[in-house]
Amino acid sequence: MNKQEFKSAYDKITLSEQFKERARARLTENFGKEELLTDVEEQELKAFTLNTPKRSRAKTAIAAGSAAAVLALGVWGVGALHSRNVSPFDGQTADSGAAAHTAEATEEPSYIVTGEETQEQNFTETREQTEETEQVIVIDEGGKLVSNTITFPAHELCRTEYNSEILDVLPFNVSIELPENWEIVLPDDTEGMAAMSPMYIMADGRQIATIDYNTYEIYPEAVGQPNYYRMVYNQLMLGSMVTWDCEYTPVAQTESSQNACCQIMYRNRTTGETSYSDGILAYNDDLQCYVQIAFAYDISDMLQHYIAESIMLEQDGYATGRRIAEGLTDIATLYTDFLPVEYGFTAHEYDGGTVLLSCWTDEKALTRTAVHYIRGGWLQHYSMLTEGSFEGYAFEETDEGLTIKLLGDINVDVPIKDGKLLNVAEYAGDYLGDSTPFVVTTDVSGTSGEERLGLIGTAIANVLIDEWNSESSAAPQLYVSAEGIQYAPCVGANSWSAPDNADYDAPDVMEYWENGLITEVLPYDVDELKLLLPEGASIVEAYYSDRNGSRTALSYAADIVKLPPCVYESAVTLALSCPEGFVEYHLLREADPTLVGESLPEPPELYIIANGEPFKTAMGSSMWTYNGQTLCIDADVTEPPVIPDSQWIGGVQVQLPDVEGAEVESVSTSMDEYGRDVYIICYPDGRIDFPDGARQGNVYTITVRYPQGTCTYSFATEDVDTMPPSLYIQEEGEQARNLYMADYTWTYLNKGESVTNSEFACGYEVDPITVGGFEINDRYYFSKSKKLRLLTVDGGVVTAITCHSEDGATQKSVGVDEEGYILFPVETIGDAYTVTVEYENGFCNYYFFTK
Amino acid sequence: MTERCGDMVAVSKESIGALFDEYADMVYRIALNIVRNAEEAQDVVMDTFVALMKQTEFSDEGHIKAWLIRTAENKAINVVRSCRVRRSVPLDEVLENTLAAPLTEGESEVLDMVMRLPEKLRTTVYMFYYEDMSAAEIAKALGITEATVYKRLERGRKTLKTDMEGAAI
Repeated sequence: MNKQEFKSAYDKITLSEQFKERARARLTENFGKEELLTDVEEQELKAFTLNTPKRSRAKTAIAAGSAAAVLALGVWGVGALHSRNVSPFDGQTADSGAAAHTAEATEEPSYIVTGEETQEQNFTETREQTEETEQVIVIDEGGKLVSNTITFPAHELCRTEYNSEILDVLPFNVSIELPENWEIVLPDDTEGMAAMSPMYIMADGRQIATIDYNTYEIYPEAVGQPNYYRMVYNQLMLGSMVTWDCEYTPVAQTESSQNACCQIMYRNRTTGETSYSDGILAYNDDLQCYVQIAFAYDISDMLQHYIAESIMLEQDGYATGRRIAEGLTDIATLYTDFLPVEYGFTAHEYDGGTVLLSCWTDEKALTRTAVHYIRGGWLQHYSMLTEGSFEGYAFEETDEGLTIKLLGDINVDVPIKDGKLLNVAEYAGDYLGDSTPFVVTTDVSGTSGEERLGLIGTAIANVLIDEWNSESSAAPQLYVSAEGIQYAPCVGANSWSAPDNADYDAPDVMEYWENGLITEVLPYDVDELKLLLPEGASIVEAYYSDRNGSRTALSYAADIVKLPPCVYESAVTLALSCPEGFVEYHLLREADPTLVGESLPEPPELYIIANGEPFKTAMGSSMWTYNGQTLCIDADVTEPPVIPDSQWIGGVQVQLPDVEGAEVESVSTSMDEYGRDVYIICYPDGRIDFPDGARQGNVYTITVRYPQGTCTYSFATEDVDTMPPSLYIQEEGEQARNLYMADYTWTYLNKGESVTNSEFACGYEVDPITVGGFEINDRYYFSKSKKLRLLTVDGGVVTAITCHSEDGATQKSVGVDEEGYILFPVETIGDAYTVTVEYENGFCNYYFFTK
Repeated sequence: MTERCGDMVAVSKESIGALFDEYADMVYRIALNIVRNAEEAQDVVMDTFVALMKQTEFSDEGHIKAWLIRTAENKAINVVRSCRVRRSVPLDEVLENTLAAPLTEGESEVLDMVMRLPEKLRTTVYMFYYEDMSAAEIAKALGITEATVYKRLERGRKTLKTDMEGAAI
C-alpha cells in the first residue's frame, strides 16, 4: 500500500458525466438568478440529482404544538400491567397530579381533545380500580421534538437468571426524538417487573410510557418476508392476553431495520374485554435487538408517527462494556486502576487479584477514563491513574482516547469488594471503524459469586499498540545534580525514539504531572542543574511548564541548565538527543513559599463596562493555584447575566482585575451553524465588539489568564426577535402545527439601529411538499373535512384570511365562526390559504394548504 | 477560467462551468469521504456550487479552491449532523455507481481504511496525499492551524499504518 495506490483509488472516484453535464447546465442557466430564486427553486437546483425521496429533515424542526393527549384516569394500574406481563407503569396516573392537570386543561380549553376519544379508552381494568374513569388527563406533547439518546442495557435492576443473556448484549444506543418536555428516567422501583432494562418516559412528572429492549435471532430464510416483523417481535406478538400485533404500520425502513407504529391489545382475563394503547417498535438486524415503547396515554397519531420515525439503534463507535451491577456505591474505593480491555481473543492472565498485561501482545486496549453507572448517581465520569507499579508505560491522550505503550509486563490490581472479584471491562471494540463489531473477549473471571464491574459510554480507548521489544528499548536514565544533591528525573518513555520504538510522539508533560508520575522534586531556590549526560547524549531542549500548561524555555549550555526564579510550582522538562534517538525527562520544582502566600486564594470577579456602567459577569470554570495547590473547577454558567438594553450597544469593554499579568486570552460567543464556537476579536485594550447579525441572545465567554491560572466569565445579550413569531394552527384532534412563513417585513434594533428583515415570496405558489428544501410530506396540509382554527396570535392581529387559486389570480376572504374555526368557502377556489397578521414590528403572511 | 476585477477574481456565468469541471470531483470526493453516501455527496456538490454562485469575489483561484474545500467539508459535516446518514455502510455500497473503473484490491483497502478514519482526519489526509496540498494550504483551507494539520496527519498516518511516500513532514 503506498501513495500511488491512494491516488489511483481516488482517481477512480468521480461524478458521472451525466451528472456533470446536467449540473453544469443547471448552474450556467441559473447563474445570476440566484438572488431571485425562491427557497424551493434553489433547493431544486441543489438537489435535482435525487430521484428518490430524501429522509425527512424537517421533522426535527417541527413544532409539535401543544395539542393534548387524553386518557381516562387510572387505566394503567400496576396490577393490570403486571398481570399482562408487559412494561409496567406505576400507579402515578391516578395520583393527585391528575387533578392539577385536569384543572390546567380547563383553563386552556384549546388543549382539550373532545370527549369522544376519552370514551374510546374503555379499559375494563380501569373500571375495576377506579371510578374516576371519566376524568381527563391532559399530557402536553410539548413545543417541539428534541433528540434523546439512551444506551441499552440502561441498567441491570431487572437482571434475573432468565434474562441475563439478554442483558449481556453489547450496549447500543437508541436515539429518539421526543417532545422537549418529555424525559427518559430510571424507574424508581422495578420490583416485580417482567422486563429487561426498562426506562420510563416522563412528562410533567407523570410516567407516560415505558421503553425497553429485547434481543432476537435472525432466521435467514425469513428475512425480507412480509411477516418478518412477526418473527422479530415474536415475544410480543404471540400472546393471547397481550399482543402488539395490531395495526402494525412501518414508518421508516432500511435494509436491516424497521420502525413501526402499532397498537397494543390487552384482553381482560376475567371478562375477555379488550382495550388498546399506542405502541412503537423498532428493530435492527445488525444488532439483533429491538426497542419497544408502550404508551400509557393516548398520543396523537402524528406524534406517534414522528417518534417512531426518529428512532435509530446504533452500536456507537465508542460504546462498549457494561454497567456496574446494582449495589456498588463507592466507585472510587473500588476502582482505581487502568481498566484493561483486551482486543482479540487473548485472555489476560489472572493471578490473585492482579491481571497481567503482556507487552508482547500485539494489540491491547486500555482506558483511563470511563463513564460509569453508579446506583443513585446515574452517570459519573471517573478519571484516575493507578498508583505505583505503572512506571513501565507511557501514554498520550488524543481525541479518541488514551494511547498506552507498555514498556514491560505490568500488573493491574483487580478491584475486589467484600472478597469478590469485580470483573473489569469485558468488551472491546475498535473506535476507528463504524462498522467494526465489538468483540466480546476476555472474561477476567474469578470465583463464583463475582460482581461485575464494567464500562459504558464514550471514553474507552481502544488503541492498537505496536509490538515492541522492551528489552532493547529502555531509554537511559538521566541523573541531574543541584547543590550537591542528585535527582533522577522520570523518563517520558513515549518520547524514546529508538528505531524499535516506532511511534515517536512527544508526550505531554502535563499528563505526567497531573497524574502524580513525576516524583523527583527540586527545591524552589535551585537555580542551576548539572546533567550527568548518557554517553553521546546532548541537550536539545529545556523548558518549564506552569500549571496552565504554558511553557517557558530555559537557557542551557553543554550539561548545564539555568533555572530562573519561579513563584509557582512548575515542571522542568529536559530533552536529550541520544545516539539511539530522542528522549525527554521530567522533574518538578516546588513553589516559592515566600511568595505564593501573597497570592489570591481564588480567581477575582470580572466586570465589563456596558452602556457606560460596570456590569458583573458570571464566573465559570477555572484552574487556580494557591499555596502550591491547584484547584480545577468545571462549572458551566447556565444562566449568564443579561446586559440590559444591549440591543443598543455595539460592544463592551473588559475591565481586567487588578492582578499583575492578567490578560484576556480569548472571547467566544454562541455556536455557529456547524456547532462550533465563534471566536471574536478582543482588542488588546479589552474592547469586545459584538459581531454583526449574530448578537441577539448570544452568550459571550471571556477567558482570562492570570499568573495563578485561568478563569472563564460569561454574560449574555438580550434576545431580539429578527423575524415574526410562528403562527400555529390546529386541526381538530391533532397537535398544532406552525404555518409556512413566506412574506414578511420585520423591524428590530441592532446596536441601536433599526434593521428591517423582509421576505417576499408568493407562498400560495409554493409547492409545500418541498418547502425550504425539506421533504415535509403533509406538513402544511390540512384536511378541509376537519375543523381548523388558529391558535393564539402572539402580539399580532389577524387582519385577513384569504383563499387562493393555484395561480393566485382568484382570491376570496375567509371568515371564522364563533369558536374561531375557519369557515372554508363552499365554492372551490383553490387549496392555498393566506393568514395575514399585523404586528407592531411588521406584518407576516402565513400559508397553509388543504386537501 | 475566471474574470479579474482589479486584484480580485470574480465567478461569472462563463466561468462557473469551467470551475465545476475543474473542482466538482474534488468536492465530491471530500463530501463522499465524510457523508459516505453517494447521493448525499452529490447533493453537497450542488449545494457547494450553488453557494459559490453567490460569492462575488475571491483574491485568486487558490482562494476559490480553498473556499470550495472548506464549504464542502462544512456542508458535508452538516449533512452528517442534520440527517440520519447511515454510518455503517459497506465500502462497496458507498462507492456503488461512482467508480470510473473497478478498484484493485490494494486501492479498495486504502479507501476502506481512509473512510474508517475519524471524520476530521479524512479530509486532511485526502488533501495532503491526493491534492498534494501543503500543510499551510490545508490549514488555510480548513481554517485550522498548521500544527493541527500536522497532528491530524500524524494521527492519520498512525492509524492507517501505511508507509506512503512523503510521509515525513
